[in-house]
Amino acid sequence: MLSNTIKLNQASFEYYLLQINSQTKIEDIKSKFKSLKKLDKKNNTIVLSLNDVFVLNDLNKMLDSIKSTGNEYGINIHSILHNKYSEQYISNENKDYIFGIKVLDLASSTKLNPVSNKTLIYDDPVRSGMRVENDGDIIVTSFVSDNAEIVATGSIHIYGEAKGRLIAGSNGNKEARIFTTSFNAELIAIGGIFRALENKLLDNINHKMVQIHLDEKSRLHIKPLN
Amino acid sequence: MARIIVVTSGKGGVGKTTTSASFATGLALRGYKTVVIDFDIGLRNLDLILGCERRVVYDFVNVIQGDATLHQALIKDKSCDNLYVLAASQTKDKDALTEEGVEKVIKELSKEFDYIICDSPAGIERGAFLALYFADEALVVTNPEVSSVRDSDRILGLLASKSKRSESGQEKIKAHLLVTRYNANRVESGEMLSLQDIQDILRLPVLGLIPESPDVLHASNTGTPAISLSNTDVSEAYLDVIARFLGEEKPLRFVMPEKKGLLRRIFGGGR
Repeated sequence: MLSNTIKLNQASFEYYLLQINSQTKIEDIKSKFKSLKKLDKKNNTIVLSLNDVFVLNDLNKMLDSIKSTGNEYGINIHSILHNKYSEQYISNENKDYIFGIKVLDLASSTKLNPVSNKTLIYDDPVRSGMRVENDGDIIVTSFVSDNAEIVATGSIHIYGEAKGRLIAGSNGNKEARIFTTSFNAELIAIGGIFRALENKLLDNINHKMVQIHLDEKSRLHIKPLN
Repeated sequence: MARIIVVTSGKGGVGKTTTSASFATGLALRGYKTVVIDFDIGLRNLDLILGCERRVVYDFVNVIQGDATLHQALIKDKSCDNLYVLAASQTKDKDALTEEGVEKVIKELSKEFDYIICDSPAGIERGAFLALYFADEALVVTNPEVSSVRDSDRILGLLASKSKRSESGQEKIKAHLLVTRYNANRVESGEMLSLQDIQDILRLPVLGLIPESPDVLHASNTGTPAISLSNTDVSEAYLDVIARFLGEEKPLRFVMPEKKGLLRRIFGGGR
């Protein structure tokens, strides 16, 4: 098993590449997982590579047993690299999720940010004209005034009245989200999609606890949180 | 060591200079040795409000540039022994102020005085920046209208990020809110922001509330600080401000509209 490090957005993401071919048996995988556990590293993230798999009859069975074996050893399977054949034959369940983690296409995952950068915790009020920026998440424990700006490449969390301009995923990260305990922003943006909130907000979100995210069609959604 | 207090607002015409003059006079009347510095270089007003405009020979810029000593430039107030004024220059502009120069003057004044009041100019340019840079406390003067409140919010941001205390990691500047030109009747009819509205935005402890009054204009025109007009709402309000600043408990007055008596309703009040 190879150990690799890739750099994504200035954060390094370490993983082990587990290559599977048509001859791989579940016993081999078990022993590999065992040896990985012995290394006792904090990082036990695995990327499965199916590049060499061409006999497909029991691919899904194989993946299911890898899943349960991984579960046993506390190993996290981050994503699966496909070839054209495996992509075609993998079951929908296995295609989308392995251990609840959405399958990422690594080639395009530089835009995503599997490992969060350092989070900035800001304890003071963000007053009009101030700008708080961070490469990573931002948590504001006070309030944000009108005409202040919060700009994060990651997500934004505000535990106070949130006015001003809230810009999450400023490097194009569409997975970023905005959370506020009292929502009253002038402008919100995620991954470059923005909306100016010039009209009075609906009662179910005005000054309420909300979450803002982008859907798969890049539309901004403001949802009340209960 | 003197306590350095900046009177600031961001917006012009809200009552910074009136407040500076009254606040400094009030502290001096309580027996504290107080100096008030006009940072509005080129648009000097403080000397007029304090009625000492004819006695300005040397000013703040002269001291910074080494043309005069501090003692030559300090003007003693005519009515109050503990109060001194350092006037601004009317002929120079704000670029005449340097950080080193201002620091030197403030350091020298710190040795002799209990309180140094810095009357900031409007805006957020050099003069305003240097007025707040060395401050320990700030009086943020706000009128009950949206643009003034927003500008105050901006100034509070600068106090928190651009002052000497914030840059050197010391305890933050203690900011107080002072609402001026407050007209409870107009607040009730919805024409003005209420004290609650202002506090919702700025979230600062309120040091005082000065009612709107024609007495202020009269005081300025006659060169008397508003606090020295006896038996007026304005002077009472400023005296309350001083008391609260010195740690005394005083309830906020002039928040609710005055209830007019029957005779006053029939014949009309003076105002």
